[in-house]
Amino acid sequence: MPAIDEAAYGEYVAARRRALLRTAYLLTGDWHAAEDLVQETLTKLYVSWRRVLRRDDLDGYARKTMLHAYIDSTRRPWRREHAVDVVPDGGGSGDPADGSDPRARHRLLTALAAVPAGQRAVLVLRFWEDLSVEQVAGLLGCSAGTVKSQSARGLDKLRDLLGTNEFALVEEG
Amino acid sequence: MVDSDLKDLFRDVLTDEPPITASIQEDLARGRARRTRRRQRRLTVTGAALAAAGTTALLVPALVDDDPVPAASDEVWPYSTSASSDVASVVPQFGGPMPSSADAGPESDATADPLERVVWAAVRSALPADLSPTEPGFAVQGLGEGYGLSFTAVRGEAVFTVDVVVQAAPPELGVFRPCTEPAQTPDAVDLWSACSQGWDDEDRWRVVGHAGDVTGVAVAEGGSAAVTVVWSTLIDHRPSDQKDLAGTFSPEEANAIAEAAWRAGSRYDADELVVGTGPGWDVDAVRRDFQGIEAILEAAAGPVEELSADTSRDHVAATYATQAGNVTVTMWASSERYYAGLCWILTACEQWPGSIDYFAALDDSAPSMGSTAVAIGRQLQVAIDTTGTNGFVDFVMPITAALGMTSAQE
Repeated sequence: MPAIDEAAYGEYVAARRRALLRTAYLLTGDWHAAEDLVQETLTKLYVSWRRVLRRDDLDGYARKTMLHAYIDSTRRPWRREHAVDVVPDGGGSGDPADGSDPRARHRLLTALAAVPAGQRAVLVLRFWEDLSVEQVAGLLGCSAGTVKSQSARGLDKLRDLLGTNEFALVEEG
Repeated sequence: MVDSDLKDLFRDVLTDEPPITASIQEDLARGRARRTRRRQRRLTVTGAALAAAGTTALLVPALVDDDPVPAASDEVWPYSTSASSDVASVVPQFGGPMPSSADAGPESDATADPLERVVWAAVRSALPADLSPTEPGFAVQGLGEGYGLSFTAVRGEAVFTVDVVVQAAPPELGVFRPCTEPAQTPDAVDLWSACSQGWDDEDRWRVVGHAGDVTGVAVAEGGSAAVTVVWSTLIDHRPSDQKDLAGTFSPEEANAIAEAAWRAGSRYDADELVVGTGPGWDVDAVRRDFQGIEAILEAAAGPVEELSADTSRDHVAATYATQAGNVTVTMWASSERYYAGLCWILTACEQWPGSIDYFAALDDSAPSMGSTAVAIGRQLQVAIDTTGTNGFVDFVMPITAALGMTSAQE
């Protein structure tokens, strides 16, 4: 029995690959690693396609698969990232929101890389994917309280690295 | 700075996004390869298990005897049913007040069917205290002819789905014997593990076991009602290679849920437990569908010649010669039993690991890895064997799409 509904799978991949890739990049900070993560996610999605279809929550399953593939990857010694205490300024404008400045982007990425994987995942899901605390808790299989505390710690870490001006008002309720 | 500003920062980080160069064909190829590897691993594991059980075969004659059905008295349900009395005490009486609950779910949903609410209340009461359903229960569509509830549960580190289906009891009890009569499927022989089956002290047929690595099943059939509980860790955060059922339900806990749902369902007559249309089996209608299939094959691959046709009480099958090779299409009626059919979701096929009638319609022939099977509505199951073709023409999608449209119009 070789066939899943490959046409439907193909449609889903075509529609969602870019969104998955962006989330993966925010998680990994590297486009090649992001592509690897997306490939792994889509491969697992193919294998489980029929069961996932039944649950009618393709995005949720894809997110969850990517999330845990990402966290798994950070546990491997050759992919482990090392936290930094100070983000190198690099002589840029100092405004991380200035997307035209590659040095600012580098500074942001470096700061994100310094945030522990679980906290970074929470930040990306909460503030990029716009998921609720409860939705993130469901994806991570943890309590809402854990999501809030991880989010707060992640934001604290970014404040420490980038300065309080940019992040002073972000609070996780 | 507010949340939207943080989102802007993320957006800025993405400004050097490269163009997407990966192709969907590559994704499909990777998916197929992973699926094949998993199959091969399953076959290897199953082969080793069967080899290890070689001596056990002497002790389990059901696997090799011509008449594998042991006398009912030989199969005594090994679990106590005494705990069920505690469960039964919290099952609301039919027509009585629903238990109060702050949680959302069918029992607090005024629009839900009364039986559905009763079953959900019973199931909830039987859940282990340290387990929390993370979603409200909801009616499951397409899971046989009965009432279905489904929810996701979190218990410690385990995240798993739970389906509970309440149906009318089958006319003959004790037919489903996955512990001693494993189903043969295209993937492997589905030998269940941690499996027990037998007659309990209330003359109900009971089953509990693991159907593969990530699926547990508990069955209780007798009186007017039949209950199937299925729990699965497939949608779990653990890597697929590490998934198992650890930390989900013990056999006793699964039995308690089946028991509670059964007691709720058994308060109803069997007729009241049937939802949806019967399986039905109109050979003439199926033959008409076949004429449509011939046209579809012709559209896909040019002139078609019918090589053989076989119409019987159980199934309709035909083999066609096309310019791309031979295609065999077989149709048979869906079973009303949740656990019996091969395909148990609509317009696609999720292979049920305990399927007992999968190959009944295929004349017990060896399963073909080139076959694709789908369920069309609740009425019909279809197998399309394209192993005789050159593989360059997609016959499956046009046929299933056409049949699905026909089914939807009925």
